[in-house]
Amino acid sequence: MNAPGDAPKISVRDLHKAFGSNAVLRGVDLDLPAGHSLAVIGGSGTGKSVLIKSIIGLLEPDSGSIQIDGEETLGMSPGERERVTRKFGMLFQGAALFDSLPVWENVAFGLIQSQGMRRREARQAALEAMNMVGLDSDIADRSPAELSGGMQKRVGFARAIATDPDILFLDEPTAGLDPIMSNVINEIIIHGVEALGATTISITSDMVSARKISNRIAMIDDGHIIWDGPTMDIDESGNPVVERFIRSNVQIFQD
Amino acid sequence: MRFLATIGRGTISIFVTIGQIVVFAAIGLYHCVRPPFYPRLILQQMIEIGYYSLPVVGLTAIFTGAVLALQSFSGFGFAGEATIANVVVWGITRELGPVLAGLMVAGRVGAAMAAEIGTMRVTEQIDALTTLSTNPYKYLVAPRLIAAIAMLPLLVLVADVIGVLGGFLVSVYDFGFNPTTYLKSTWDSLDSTGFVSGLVKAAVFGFLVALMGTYHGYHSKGGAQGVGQATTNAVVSASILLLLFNFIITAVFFAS
Repeated sequence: MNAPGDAPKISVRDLHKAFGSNAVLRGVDLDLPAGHSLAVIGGSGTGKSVLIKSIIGLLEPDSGSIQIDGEETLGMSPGERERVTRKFGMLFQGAALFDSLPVWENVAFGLIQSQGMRRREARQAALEAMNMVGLDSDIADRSPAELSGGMQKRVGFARAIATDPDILFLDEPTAGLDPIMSNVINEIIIHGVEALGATTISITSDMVSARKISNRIAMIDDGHIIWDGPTMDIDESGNPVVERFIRSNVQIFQD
Repeated sequence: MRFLATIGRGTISIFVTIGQIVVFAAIGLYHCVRPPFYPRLILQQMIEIGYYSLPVVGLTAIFTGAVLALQSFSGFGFAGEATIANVVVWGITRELGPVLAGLMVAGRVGAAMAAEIGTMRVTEQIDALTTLSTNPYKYLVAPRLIAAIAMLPLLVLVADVIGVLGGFLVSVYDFGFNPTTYLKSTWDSLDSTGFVSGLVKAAVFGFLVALMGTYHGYHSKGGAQGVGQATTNAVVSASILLLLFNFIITAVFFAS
């Protein structure tokens, strides 16, 4: 935990976001100290993705406050926003790899484009990042389309950590993967986050993954955080919505 | 009342779209002149737009020049040797060269841009660019605008030469005109205003094709259907705008 008086790494206050008449976020409050790993859980359409995209700056919230390292990010100029974005790494649900670039260039993209690293050095750094997530250098020159879903996720994670970010965002890291591959991805995330020492926010509907990769869980429902606490306490939340979500997750897993 | 409300909503929607396109174009052009630049991407787009469009533009130009000569001959006959050369040169350099090249590039390149950027949008690749501190306008839009504005005039230059050649081949080998006399008539017919207006048109058409391709791709929604719709919209809107601006530029150059 942070020492008293320390600003949290990420602080969200009374965040609202609506799409037309559909109010998705209705006053979200969240504080995440540096080095913590938070899993935001919730059903489809409850606002998980909107929350994470608002924090990253991909969506503009209607009102509220988002602070990164004590610095208000809403209303920032594009230049200031770019500076803050350099602290981020993101794994997208579908990996979102660039089709037009080979695997190694995908991983090295942030190093070349935003850090100005020379291509030869960037390739070496990319191979090291790929090695960290258990990918062989043989696939470095392949196109992302030639890889399986699990390998694409690994490349996506390697790309997210290649720039050594302070804050990692993981969007449904195990979605669409079989239980074995999900487990592999969870292990890679745990080791990657440990090695980086990064603050992490994952959004997931997979309780198995949430329990493994986080030390804190927040449940979002109907645009609010309805429960927030240590991962180990989730089974004693005392919140009927959280309990129902956990039960339905177990049911799906057993089915 | 409901009828009027429908008309009102439609009108507002048109103005909103025009406003969005103007803002998109302004941001795109701003990033065309502000570093960092991506020379590798600009070159890649130049090859895609210029080099790979050469066959289709060349074929269109040679047949158009040939048809112009055939049609002119059916009107003027053997007495109109100089006039046929004049019609071919003016027709190709002032109108048909830039317009047909522009339409061909709209179909080939504009559609490809919309499909590629649209797919990037729906698969979150554009969001990924942002999270990697790379401005999508700078990385995706600006190189395409720069390359299209630079390459369309060059393509039209080639189309002009090939189009005139098409007219020459028909006139000399089909009608039996004297090649030297025909070439001299062609040269005499060439006017700098018409030639320059064709190249200006080409640059504007290049901008319009790239703008519509990138705009519709960038704003595509949904999955494959959204990308397909973006591609159709890119080609249709670029073609209509191209014909509209052809009229405006012609009016500016030749109205007096």
